[in-house]
Amino acid sequence: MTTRKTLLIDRTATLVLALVLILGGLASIWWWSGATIAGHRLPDSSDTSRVAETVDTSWFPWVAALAGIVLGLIGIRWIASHLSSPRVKRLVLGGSDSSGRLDVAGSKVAAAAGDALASTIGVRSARGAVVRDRGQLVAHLNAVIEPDADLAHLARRADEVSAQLAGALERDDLHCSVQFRVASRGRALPRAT
Amino acid sequence: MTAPTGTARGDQPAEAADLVAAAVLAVPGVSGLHGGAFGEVGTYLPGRRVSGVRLGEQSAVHITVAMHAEILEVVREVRDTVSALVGGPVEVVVEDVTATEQG
Amino acid sequence: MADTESAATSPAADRGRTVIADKVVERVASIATSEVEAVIDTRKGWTKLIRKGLPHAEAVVAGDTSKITVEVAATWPTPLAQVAAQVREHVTRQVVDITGVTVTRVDVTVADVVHLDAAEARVQ
Repeated sequence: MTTRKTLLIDRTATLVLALVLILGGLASIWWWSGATIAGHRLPDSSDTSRVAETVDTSWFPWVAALAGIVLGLIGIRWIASHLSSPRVKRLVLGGSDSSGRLDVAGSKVAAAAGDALASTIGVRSARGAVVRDRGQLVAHLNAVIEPDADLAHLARRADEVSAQLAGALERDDLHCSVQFRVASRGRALPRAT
Repeated sequence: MTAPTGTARGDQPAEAADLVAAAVLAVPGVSGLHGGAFGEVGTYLPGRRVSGVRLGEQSAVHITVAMHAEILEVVREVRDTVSALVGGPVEVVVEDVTATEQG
Repeated sequence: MADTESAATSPAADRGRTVIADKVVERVASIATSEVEAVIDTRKGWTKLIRKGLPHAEAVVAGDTSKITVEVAATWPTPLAQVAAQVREHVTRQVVDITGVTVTRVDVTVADVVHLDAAEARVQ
């Protein structure tokens, strides 16, 4: 599930990476130009003897291994937080109490909404999914429409289906988003003339 | 409602099983006799068997009940019917419920 | 198997045990579910090919109490919370009335929602 936290970390990481790249670029230009800025000048050669000393110390292998493990785990965790599907499997319905839990399969109710939308003239196909997006519950309906479809009619229909979905689930925290994509080519439909 | 008395001793349980089966099936709410999960419940007769009925010291009938019949009521009636025929305690096992063709 | 002593008749032990199989509770729950309006039966006919057979009920019976889990298919568009609550009530009432087994909990999952027009169109 892509949560707000993951998104925040992603953005921070992007910012940090961008800053590092900019600074690295500026440093390269500085070194190449050989200019003196505020009395400082980058050395022409670099000295790696201190690195060699550090590597030779007895504690270095342990620290390196530990750091490797920690970084590896962070990496796995980071990837995993992006991999897991944001799809909502079970939506709890109102009226659940100690006498029993009432819920609905999120994918199925969205699929039915998609079917309802697909039954509109001008809609070639439609599919739906309920996802948790940044902590919000969103039903996404994606429809592919004919190039010559009546857009005003489709917009009305989208509102209808959204209202039906809201009525079916009766959850105030659910948002519905309907997206139309125009089919790239008109399908050769058999026409009666 | 009397078990055949004049016939040979070995013949009696066979006929009694048929009688019990018929009587149980006649009880309102009973939709059938059930041979158990593995078809293990029944009385073997020469060349055939009566499924769901076992008579003896401890008689047992395994039945299926029609949906919407009160099961405990049906069970009581089945027990009364069977013990009137064969006497002794009767184990009644409700194995399944069948949907009825009603509105 | 649930052993239910027939309390109404006097010495139950003398007259023999009454055994109600777990399957009976499941079957009653499943039939009761299909009796609720807006619940559709996908166990028969062509729908079985593409959809799971619903309604489906599972019961855990311990003594004379039971916990039931039901999966149902509902029609689109219906207020699903209402349908599910109706299923819960109807199943509870029917199981208690018919089998005499107490129901402590009925969990209802709307496992499928069917837009009937689309379902018909697909089969053509």
